[in-house]
Amino acid sequence: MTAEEILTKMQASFPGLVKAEVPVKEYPTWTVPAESVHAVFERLRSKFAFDYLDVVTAIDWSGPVDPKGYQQTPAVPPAARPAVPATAKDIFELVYIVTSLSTGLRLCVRCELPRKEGASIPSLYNLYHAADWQEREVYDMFGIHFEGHPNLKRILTQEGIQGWPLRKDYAHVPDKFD
Amino acid sequence: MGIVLDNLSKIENLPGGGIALATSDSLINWARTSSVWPLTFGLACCAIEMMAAYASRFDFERMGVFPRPTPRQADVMFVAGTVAKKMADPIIRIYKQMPEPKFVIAMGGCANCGGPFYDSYSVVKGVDKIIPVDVYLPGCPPRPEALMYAVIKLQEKMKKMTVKGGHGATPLQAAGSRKLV
Repeated sequence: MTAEEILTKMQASFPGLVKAEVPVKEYPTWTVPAESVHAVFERLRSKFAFDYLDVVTAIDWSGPVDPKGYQQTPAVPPAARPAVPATAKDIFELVYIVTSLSTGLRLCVRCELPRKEGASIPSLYNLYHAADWQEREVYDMFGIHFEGHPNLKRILTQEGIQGWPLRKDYAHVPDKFD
Repeated sequence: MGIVLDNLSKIENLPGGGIALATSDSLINWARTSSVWPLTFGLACCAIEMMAAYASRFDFERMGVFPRPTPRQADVMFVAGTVAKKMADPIIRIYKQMPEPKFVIAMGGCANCGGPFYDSYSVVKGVDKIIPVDVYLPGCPPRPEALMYAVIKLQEKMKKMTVKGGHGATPLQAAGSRKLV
C-alpha cells in the first residue's frame, strides 16, 4: 500500500486531513487539524502499522527574532532589522515523522496551533513511548503543553530558566553563569 | 642518583658522597611536576584532541600525564569543551572531590569564555565563573601540542610552589580553600 492510498482511506474518516503544499524533504506530508492529531496517529498505528515515531518537533512561525531583551552584539538599529517575511504567521507548527518498520513507509504529519501562552495538544505517549522525551524537549523549548503526558517537565535546560528559549520572542534573563 | 642530581635544584652533595641534601620544596615539586595526573573528563570536541594527546602519536605519558578514572586520584582537571549550565553543578562537584593541591586547565574557547556560544541561553560563559582556573588554553579546538604546552606552563607554575608559604602555586590557592559558587 502506498502513502497515497493510505491518505485516501484516512480522508474518509478525517475530512480535515489534507496533503501539505510543501512537503518536508521527500516524505509524504499531511496537514492535520490539531484536535484530530491523536485520532489520526491511533488509526495510523493500529490499521497501517506505523509503529515507530521518529521525530516530534515544533516551529515558531512568527516573524524574525525580536531584538528586545535578547542580547545582540553589536546592537541592531531598528532600520537594519530584517522585515517580517511573508511566511510569518502567528502559529506554532508541530511536526511528527512516523515510520512503518514492516512496510518501510515514512510519513510526515504537521499540525498548526495558535501561538499563545499555554498552547496545548494531546500527547502521543500512550501510542508511542518514544514521544516521552521528545515531547518534553518541545515543551522545554517552546512551552507547548502535551495533555496526558505522564512527566511533562523541562529536560535540557538548567534549573531556574525563565521563558521558552526557541520562541522567537524569547528574552534571555542573565543568570549567574552569564 | 644521576637523575636526581640533574633534576633537583639547590642540591648539596656532602663531602665523601653517599648523602645528598636537598630542600623538601625541590623534592616535592620535582615529584609533583613529573606526575601531573588529569581526570578522565571531556565535554565536547576538545576532548577528542585531549584523547589524541593521550594516545601513541603524542604520548602524553612521557610527560607524566596519565589519565585517572576518579577525581580522588587526580591532580588536574582539563575542562575540555563547552560547559553547559546543566553541567555546571557536576563540574563543581567533581572539582570538590579532587584532593588538594588541585589545578584546572580551561581548554578551548568555550571553556575560556563561552566561545561561539557567547550569547547562548544554555552555556556557561567560561568555566572560571564556577571554578578557579590555572591555565587558559585558547584554540577551537587546541591541538594536542597546545595542550602539552599548557601542561608545561602548569608545571612551571607548580615549580614555584613552596611548603613554607602555603601550598599553592598562586596566591589564590595559597589562601587555602577557595570559595565556590
